[in-house]
Amino acid sequence: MYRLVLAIALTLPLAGCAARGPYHAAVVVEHDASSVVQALQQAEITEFNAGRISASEHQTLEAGIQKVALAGVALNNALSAGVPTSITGALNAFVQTVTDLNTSGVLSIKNQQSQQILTTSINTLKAIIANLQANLPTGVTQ
Amino acid sequence: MNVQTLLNILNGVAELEPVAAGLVLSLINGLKGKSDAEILQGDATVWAAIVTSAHAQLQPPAPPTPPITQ
Repeated sequence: MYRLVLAIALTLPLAGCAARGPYHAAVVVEHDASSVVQALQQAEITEFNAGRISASEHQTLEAGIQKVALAGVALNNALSAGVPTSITGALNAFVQTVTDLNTSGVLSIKNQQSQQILTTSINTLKAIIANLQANLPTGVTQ
Repeated sequence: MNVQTLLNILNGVAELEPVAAGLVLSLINGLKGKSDAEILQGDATVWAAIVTSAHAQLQPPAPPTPPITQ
């Protein structure tokens, strides 16, 4: 798993994108985050359908994933608008929803296998966010 | 970091974790040749799909349809 996180952190900012804007690093990270959250949601639904996640856990997790995605929409909008203060606010809110999803949802899953699968996604998200925080564009602060 | 270094990293990952390498390549291909605006536009669709899917998952199951009586 460490190698996956390392590979994402090292390689994606180098991908051959056209027309790089001032917030290109943040855009790449936002893109990675959307893919990982989508994969996390699909994994959660698979685990629920397999009976390894209870209905109660499923409701909590999907509510948390929905909040992360709504924060992702806000981050996407902020990056599109290109206003540094808005990007800062949206990024902080996004980080908070990921933290909440982990503490109130993933860490409460009783099935160890399911918890491990979703923890992997959460850790990947954390690594992606840390990569962004280490490469924040000028004017965007934490 | 040049292209060769990038390929070396990916080859190393591919040998050790084929699934992880596949995900990384998939993510890179999703960015290739796109402007930031195009990436954000595509991601907006992904985020919206996640919200819609979560909303559907949070709906209570529909009650069974009662039998039609004549």
